[in-house]
Amino acid sequence: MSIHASARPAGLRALPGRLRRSARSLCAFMRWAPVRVWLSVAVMGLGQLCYGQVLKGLVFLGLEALGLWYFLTRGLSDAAGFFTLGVQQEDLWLGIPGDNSMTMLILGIFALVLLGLMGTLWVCNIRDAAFTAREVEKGRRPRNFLQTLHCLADEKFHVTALTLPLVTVTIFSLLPIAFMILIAFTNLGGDIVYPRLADWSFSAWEKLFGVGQLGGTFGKILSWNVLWAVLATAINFLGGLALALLFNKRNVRCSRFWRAFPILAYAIPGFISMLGFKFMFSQSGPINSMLVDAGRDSIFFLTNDESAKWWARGIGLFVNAWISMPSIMLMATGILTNINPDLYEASALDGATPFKQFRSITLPFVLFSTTPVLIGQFVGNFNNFGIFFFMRSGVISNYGDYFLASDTDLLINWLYNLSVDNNYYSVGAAISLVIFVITSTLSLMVYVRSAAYKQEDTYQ
Amino acid sequence: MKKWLATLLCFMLVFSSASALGEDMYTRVTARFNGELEQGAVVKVLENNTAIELGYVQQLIDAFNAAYADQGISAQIMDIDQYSDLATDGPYGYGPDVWYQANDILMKYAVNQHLLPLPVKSMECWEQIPQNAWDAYRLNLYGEDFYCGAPLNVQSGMLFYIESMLPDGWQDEWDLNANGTPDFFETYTALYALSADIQQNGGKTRYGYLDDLVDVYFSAGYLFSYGGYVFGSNDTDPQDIGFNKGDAARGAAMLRQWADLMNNTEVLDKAFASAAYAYLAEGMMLCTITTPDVRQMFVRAMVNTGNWTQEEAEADLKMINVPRLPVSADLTADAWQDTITDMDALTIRTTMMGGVNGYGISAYTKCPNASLAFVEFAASYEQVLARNAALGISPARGDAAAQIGQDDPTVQLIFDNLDEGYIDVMPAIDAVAQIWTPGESFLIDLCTDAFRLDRGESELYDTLEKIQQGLDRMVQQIYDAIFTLA
Repeated sequence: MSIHASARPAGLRALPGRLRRSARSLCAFMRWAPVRVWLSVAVMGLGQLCYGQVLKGLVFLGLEALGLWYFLTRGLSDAAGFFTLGVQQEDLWLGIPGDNSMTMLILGIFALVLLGLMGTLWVCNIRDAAFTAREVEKGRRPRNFLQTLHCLADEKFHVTALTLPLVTVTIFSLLPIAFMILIAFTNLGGDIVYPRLADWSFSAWEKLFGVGQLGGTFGKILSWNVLWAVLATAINFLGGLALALLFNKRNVRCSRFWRAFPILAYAIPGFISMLGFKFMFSQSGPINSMLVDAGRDSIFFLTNDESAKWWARGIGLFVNAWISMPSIMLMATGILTNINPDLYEASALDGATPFKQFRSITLPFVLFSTTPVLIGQFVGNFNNFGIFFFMRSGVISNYGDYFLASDTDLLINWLYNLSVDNNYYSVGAAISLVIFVITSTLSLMVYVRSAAYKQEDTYQ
Repeated sequence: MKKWLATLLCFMLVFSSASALGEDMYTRVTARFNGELEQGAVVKVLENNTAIELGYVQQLIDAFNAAYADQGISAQIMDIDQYSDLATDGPYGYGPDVWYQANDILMKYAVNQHLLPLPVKSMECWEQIPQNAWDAYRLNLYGEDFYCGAPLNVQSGMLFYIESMLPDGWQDEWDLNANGTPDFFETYTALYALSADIQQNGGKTRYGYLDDLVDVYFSAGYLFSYGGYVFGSNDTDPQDIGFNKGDAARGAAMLRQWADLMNNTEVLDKAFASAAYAYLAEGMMLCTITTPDVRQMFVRAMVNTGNWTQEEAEADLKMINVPRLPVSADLTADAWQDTITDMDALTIRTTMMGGVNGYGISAYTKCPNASLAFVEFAASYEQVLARNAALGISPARGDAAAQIGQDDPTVQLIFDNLDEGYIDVMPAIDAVAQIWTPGESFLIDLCTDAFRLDRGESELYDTLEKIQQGLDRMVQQIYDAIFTLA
């Protein structure tokens, strides 16, 4: 038994102990708490008022009144709507009012978030009353409002500074994310759109991971998506670095002039470049025209023919590199200026070849500085919507059982096809979650293994 | 006897109750249209971009505002950038009051009640518009038919050509029936023969007929003419998808024949449509098929070449009915001369996919009566004539079509095509949105087949059975798109 116990992770072993300690603290608090603290437990601010902290007590009381007013007028029904997602369908023609599942979900989350914030405020109010009670027990005078404000600006400044951002982040960032996540667990989409009512359901996940056509397409798109993200990131990084190294060479004449060209490509809006390349590689574009004029067959670069699969994928990688490489080049140019030239000189004296210098000095140095950027590039490429949306939208592949997708579509394009074009919101949200899990997991894995993370203090 | 009488009374009671219920529902649903114009209301109108560009919409709005100035309502163009999705934005108060669109787009919103059913039977245009056109806006709800749009003009594929580019001496060689219409515009067999001749021996143009064959809207006619259809039960049952029904595969085989003859991979790309105006004007091709509402785009392209003035271009550009298809469903099976001299036996009239553009009223409008007044005004005889004059549309109103048809027989022709069922109007259910992508993908695959052998690849659609399998697959994709995630 003891062997099994010691094999348990430290966190699990600690958990019951922590719970025990928390329970003991709560019991001790309940035995100790004077009446005026219990008043604050019952009504926020009442204890503070009894201790003569009138303004503070009124603030707590006012906030509770505000909260109660919100929950009594609509918060409770909004919170209940979160669970039902509506009970009465609206009839727009007969003018019979009804529920909107999407709105109820948003307002329900909002009500629950406010409930959480109110709970936090309630705990703060009790802790404040308990603090005052202890001060009084020690024979000190309760803090007046000015002293409280002073305290919030000094020893509790972290609370003052973080409260507003925390509330803002909760409402404006976490709430939409929670909304998106929760959509994946409803049957919203397809026929179930306003004014029809939605319900909680795992149907989107069943469809996505089922053995049917959708699951098969998901597997094919996911594998291409991972390959795309790795290839695109590697090509952009190595290409950008190569350009930076090239333009840094002393024997390249007019390097500033040459450097302007990639910057020009970078400065032109990406979608303009994409549409330009789409035209160039289209059936009536200049490349095919030249091929035909030269007596060759035109090439199906971007049609949905099976032979176009790798042409289209290759063109996608090329166009992505055209748009993204200049930014890597600019960044690498800056980083390269920080490498001590003595390193190259010393290594040359030791007989290192240029390739060896690149592998052992340049690459590690650049990689060290750019790992976080590379991770950002990887995530960006994984979710690179524009390339294939502009280059090859509107067709699906007629081979290989692709479901509403072409063989170049990334998950994000498929997500768009399903959720925007076809209103399959819940499946779209489920795919979003999968994308999030994959990109965040891979990013974290790469980051914590990188030198930039392990040797963070090196340049501090 | 008493029993029979009681039974009869019961039946009478049931029927009268049912009819009263029906009557009541229609009255309840259209109750908002009580005829009392909302004072001070400004009707926001979302219109066709081309109509705005060519100035017709402003002309219409001005005329409406002048006509209703003393009744306290007016209208304004809704900026196209304010385009709103009625289903997502409507409930929050955004979007137009009146929306001009194709029936399939409008009806997508009607299904979920985002558009109001109109009190059509009390509208002035009701009697003038054929039932086929009204059906494009018909929606059955509560067991009753409602109409969620007022038809304005009919859209369908028409053949465009420039008269001065016809082959020299066509009257001698290509008018066997001496009816003044070139034979190659009367049957597809003759058009195929002429196109082959031009491509082999040259002519005023590089190609005869050239088109993007992968556009479902235009190419579906090859399937419809041989028994294919979009949805069953008069286009109301999405469970029954009919692109592969009847002898549709034989019709599809002709698309492959065209791709083979054209031998130009541009026809595999829908982008061809935007280049077609210049191609026709520059003499790359003799004819192409598109909808009547883009007539002015051809005229503009012709004027841009510098070879025509506006008036000359207007007179030289011709728009006629699409040719007849061969009964054999083979463009080379008959001698083209036979298809002219024995037209009824060897050819059939082509059924084209079409649409009926019209006005719908948002269910979220604050001024339904003012909106209805605008729709009635815009669908009136005078305004439809004005719209035709400005845009060249083909009206859905019979009286307007007859009037315009006196000078422009094509307009009457389109009206007759609709009236006689040779225009298969796009279904009025939202499932129609799922037919385009799988349809286009199949057509690209089918037409690409004409190039595969030359590239050392094996052909995928070299037999009717394989084309049928391709159509079956396309239908399955449409079915999956409609039902798998629904």
